[in-house]
Amino acid sequence: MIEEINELFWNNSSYLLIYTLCIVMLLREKNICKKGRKMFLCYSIAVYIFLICNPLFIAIAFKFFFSLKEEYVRMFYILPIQETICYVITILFLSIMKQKKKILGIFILVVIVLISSNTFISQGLYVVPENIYKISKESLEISNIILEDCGGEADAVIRKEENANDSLYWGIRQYTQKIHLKSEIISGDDFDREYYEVFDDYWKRLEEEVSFDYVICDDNSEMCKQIEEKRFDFLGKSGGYVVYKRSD
Amino acid sequence: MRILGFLYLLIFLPFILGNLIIGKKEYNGNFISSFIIGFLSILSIFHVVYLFIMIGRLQFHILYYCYIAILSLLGIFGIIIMMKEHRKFKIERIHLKSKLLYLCFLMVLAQMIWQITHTMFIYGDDFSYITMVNDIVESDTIYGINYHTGELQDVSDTLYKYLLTSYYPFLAVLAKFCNVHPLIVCKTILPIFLIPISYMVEWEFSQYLFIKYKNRITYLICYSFINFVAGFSWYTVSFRSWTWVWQSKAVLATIILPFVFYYSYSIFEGEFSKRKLFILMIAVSAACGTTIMGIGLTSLIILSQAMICSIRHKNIKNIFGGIIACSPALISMVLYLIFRIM
Repeated sequence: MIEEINELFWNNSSYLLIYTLCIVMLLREKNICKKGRKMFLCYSIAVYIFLICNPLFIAIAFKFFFSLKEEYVRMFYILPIQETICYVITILFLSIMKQKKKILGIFILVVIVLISSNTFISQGLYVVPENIYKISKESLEISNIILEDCGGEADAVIRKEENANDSLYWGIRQYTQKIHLKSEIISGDDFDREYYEVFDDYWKRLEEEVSFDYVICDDNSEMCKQIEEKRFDFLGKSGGYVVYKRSD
Repeated sequence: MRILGFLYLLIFLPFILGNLIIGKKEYNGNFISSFIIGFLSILSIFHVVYLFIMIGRLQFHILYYCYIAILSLLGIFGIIIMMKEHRKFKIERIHLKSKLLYLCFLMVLAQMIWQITHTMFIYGDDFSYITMVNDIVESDTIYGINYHTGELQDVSDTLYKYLLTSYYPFLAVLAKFCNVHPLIVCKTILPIFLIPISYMVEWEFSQYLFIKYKNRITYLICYSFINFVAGFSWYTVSFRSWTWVWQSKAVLATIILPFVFYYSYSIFEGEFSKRKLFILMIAVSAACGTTIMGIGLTSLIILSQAMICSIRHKNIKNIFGGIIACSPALISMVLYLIFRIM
């Protein structure tokens, strides 16, 4: 367990090595690092050994508070990793007196840190938002189509995929509470295979289970092709999604 | 007007409250220190008010008006005290000729601009949090909406870990007060405030490490740089700082925990005063409002520091001090257990 937690946190990077080196530096440089030594050294070592990596503590924590390793790994928040590394770097930088050596020192340091890890930007986690709400354009447009039509609150059915990355579903939910999204969580493949082959049965069951006036579906899906036969009219479209409204 | 709302709640009131709490003797014109303490106070006060309203199963607008009224009254009281004691607004002397200072500003500014102009394409758990904030504002209930469907539900159906978290109702108050959609508040407005606050905490932290101004700036630049390149894992403080900085976990990891770390150190290692202990209690209370995890993590930091300092100085007073400082966490823990059993 301890190994898994450490692997999860350090993610095979050399940051553990850098952090350990910084702790060793603090142990060595008694005079320069007087204040930081007091603050970081005892605390970091004690917390890491007696709390984070203590099997007894892990067992208690999992019994009462945590159920996943991903949750327990947040225990590392109490370890001043960044502060320790920055402190030692600053101390090293200040101890080099000559300007040329300082520049060389900074350069070496930057290279070491850069090759040890990468930035969040380089991992491609970010996108430029399509609107001020920072949700997908389709979510915003489809929400507004329904809200303009209903004038108050609306019950809608939407195909919600299993994964959390369902930007349309969560975009609408984040934007407004007035559209109630009633649907089952179905993965795309199952939905097409199991339900569309017997669409009438599926539809009957859906109408028995939930009440709704609006349906949001993929433009090219089977549902879209058959829905107009179920007394639903086309209301609007955005991106790859279509909104249908129950006929009066 | 909307901008004024944010400035009132996130700048003006924290500063006044911080001044009120920190006391004239310790104030000494330290703007940053009083501002951080004030910011934690507004979270802490909200947590206390929220718990009463939530247990009473009252509506959101009651929470909203109670909180704004209490804060405004405290604000007026703070101004009166400041005027009576002739306290001057004095910002720490800034060495404007220092190139390092500009470099530091640039790095923080770049991080802010990046987060304002970009968004994460992955959703993580932010969808549920923003949904909950928006549901609170639009439905006038406190966690009375099923965040999956948007339909009304009984509060008892809400997970207790959310019920004990006051941070998202706080964001709802912020959104309602400024009349701005929670999506804009969280993803665009809050990084403008929270990122500088996290660096302010580190700036305060640095005063315990270095005496010289230049060295403190160097430390802050290093911190900003490490923050930028520490993309080795999605469980680090840097990740919180660079991604969903408005989330409760991020506020806990980037602002509250570093504050608790250096502040408890300053108490147990240096001057031990009732006022400082009270400020630490405020920080613990604010942490309890962010996430259930905050209850445990802040207590662990304080008790570890207290224990280490007690052994070093052979002084048991620190341990008692630590336990007193953790009392808000103890109350939250009892509530947590009651909710869990129920």
